[in-house]
Amino acid sequence: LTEAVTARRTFLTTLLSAGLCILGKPPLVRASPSHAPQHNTLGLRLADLFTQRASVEVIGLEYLRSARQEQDSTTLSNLISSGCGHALGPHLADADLRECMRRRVRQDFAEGHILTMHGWVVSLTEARLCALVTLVFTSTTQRPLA
Amino acid sequence: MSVILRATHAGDGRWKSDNSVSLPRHGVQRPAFDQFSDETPSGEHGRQRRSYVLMDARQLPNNHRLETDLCIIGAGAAGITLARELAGQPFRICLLESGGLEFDGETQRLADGENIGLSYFPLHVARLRYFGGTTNHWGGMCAPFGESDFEPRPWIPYSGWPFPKSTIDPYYARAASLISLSRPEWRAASWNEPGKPQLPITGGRVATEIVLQADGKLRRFGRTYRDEVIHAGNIAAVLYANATRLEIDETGRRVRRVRVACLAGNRISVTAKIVILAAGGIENARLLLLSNEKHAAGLGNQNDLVGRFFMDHASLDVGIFQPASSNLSLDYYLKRRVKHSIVTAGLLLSPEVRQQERLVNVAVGLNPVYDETYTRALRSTGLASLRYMVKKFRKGDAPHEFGRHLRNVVTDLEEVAVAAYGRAWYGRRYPIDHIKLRATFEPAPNSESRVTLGPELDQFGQRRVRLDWRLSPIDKRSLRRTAEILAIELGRAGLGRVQIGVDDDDTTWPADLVGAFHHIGTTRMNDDPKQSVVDKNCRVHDIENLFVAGSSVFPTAGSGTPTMMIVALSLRLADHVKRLLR
Repeated sequence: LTEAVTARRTFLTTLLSAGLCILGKPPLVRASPSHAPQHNTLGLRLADLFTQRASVEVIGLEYLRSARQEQDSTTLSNLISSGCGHALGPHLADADLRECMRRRVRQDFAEGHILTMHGWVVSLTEARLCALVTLVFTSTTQRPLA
Repeated sequence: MSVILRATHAGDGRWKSDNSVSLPRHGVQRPAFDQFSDETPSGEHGRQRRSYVLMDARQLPNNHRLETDLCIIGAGAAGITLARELAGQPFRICLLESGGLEFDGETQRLADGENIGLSYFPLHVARLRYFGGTTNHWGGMCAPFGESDFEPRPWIPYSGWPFPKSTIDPYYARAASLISLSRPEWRAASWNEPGKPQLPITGGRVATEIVLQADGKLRRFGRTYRDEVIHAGNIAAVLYANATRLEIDETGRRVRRVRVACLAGNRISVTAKIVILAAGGIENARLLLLSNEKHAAGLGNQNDLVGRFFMDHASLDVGIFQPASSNLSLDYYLKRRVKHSIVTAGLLLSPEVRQQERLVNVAVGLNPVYDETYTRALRSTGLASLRYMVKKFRKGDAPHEFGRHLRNVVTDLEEVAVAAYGRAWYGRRYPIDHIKLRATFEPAPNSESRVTLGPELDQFGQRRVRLDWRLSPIDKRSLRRTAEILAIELGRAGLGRVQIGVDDDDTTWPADLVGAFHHIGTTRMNDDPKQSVVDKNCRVHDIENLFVAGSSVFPTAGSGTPTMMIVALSLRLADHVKRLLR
């Protein structure tokens, strides 16, 4: 029971942080660096928005297991940015990035692009975000995918 | 005090007796009387004599026979509504009540029975057997039936009522008045208040609706309408009278006599032109099944339908809603008082979505679970003591056990400080940790969910009931799908995420499933005798003078709560009986 509760809370915290970053609630989101990030990749910038990186992996890994054709960061970046109307690149400010993600997530729900993971109903974009962050971290830390 | 053992009829629809005794107006608990009078100071001649008829069946001699025009079995919401509506009519009415005017444990045990199906309340606590019936512990919460409740829904077998909602609407309005709903208004917009917004869910698939409404002043039918009933003149209320069997005449098509037993040991009978069963959803079925002298399967049971289709509105948690903001305002949805009314709102799928998805009615309530720190603080003994002392001081009273309460506050000083901080900072809107989604649903009619007679016997040697409460796969699927659609719509609105708490196995039910004390469907109503026990006038098929009142006649449990519909149907039945007895 304790494990189940812990798992639920972890998952919940992850979603909370993911949801809040997408919805643009700064207090629970790590402050963006004032200078350009050292590794100016979308994955790392997105990763910077999460407070619970370990929890992101729970969702990310589950998504990557179920979507084997999306197991590289380029594919995921393209898929995530495809609904934003413009490419997600270094030129995009964090506020715009959040707004773009928020729009994309709500569009997912409207169009039925949703997934159920551990009972949580999340948008496809949310799941891909977590998968992308997981991939970036795995490659950065040289850890193999589970 | 002389004891009158027989009431006679004056011929003008009123009961009379040879003598009467003056008793206090509410001195009716005293034993051994069947009619007496009191005096009020006003009236044509200065003092007006008002007669009222109450009998204590235990004081009647064994084999005593009462004759009447109409016998109503059960003085609950249905029975009292009928009696009250027929007060002053030119015919006699005998209102039989199993208990007295107050709760009595021994009588209550007559309601006991066996549960063999899904986990359910002990049957002896699910109904009350004294004057006023189960309204004596009714919370007063009402919700209306909608148009679609009356229409056949092809995806729900046995759905549909034998008349449209418009047939019952006039009675529904009167029922609301009897229940004393001061503002029987159900449109969500009409309960808007400043600072209590509805959730901004658009698109029309999910709607906010008022799911429960009560009046601040509860209506206990027994207490509220007792005087009206017993002063009517044409009504004799017979207490401690347990109907045990309905006896059929030689034609097999008419009830000749109602057999009545008393826990004191004596037995009496009531002969009536018309009999109305109004003893509750379980006892109505039981009495029909027990009355098997002429019809082996019981009265009205030629198609093996009596006792089947037992339904209760059930509730369970269907998920967790994690709001995007911990400051989300849920005030509109939480139980709140608006002038004299108490209302609760919930989220429902639109009728179109229910039809498209082939679902039963499900209403989802939002129950916030506050941040753990505040939850602990709000539940602390110290805070409770502080509240108590403040309340007393405000009234100018000294708190009882002041020292103990003061110690509690000091011991829980941290919790008290947290609560005080929270109150000062957030008002009553403490930060929400998550919100439990609590669904209440209308189960689909299920013929295997049923009341039968069990092997155990009650104090009269009569078989007790055995309840096998069951639900159907469509119920579970409806809950899951409703939660899913809700999750999508909340996500689309950017309000947060939902974790579905309903598993994929449609044949099993979680432990937190709980009923609502609504006993529905065991003598269902339809014009086709092959599908029902009573016709659209609530008359038992093939029995000319036997009617059933109460929620046992509902063909479906509906999206509303039963009491207002019970009252409405009873008013309608009263109109029908008036026509028959005139």
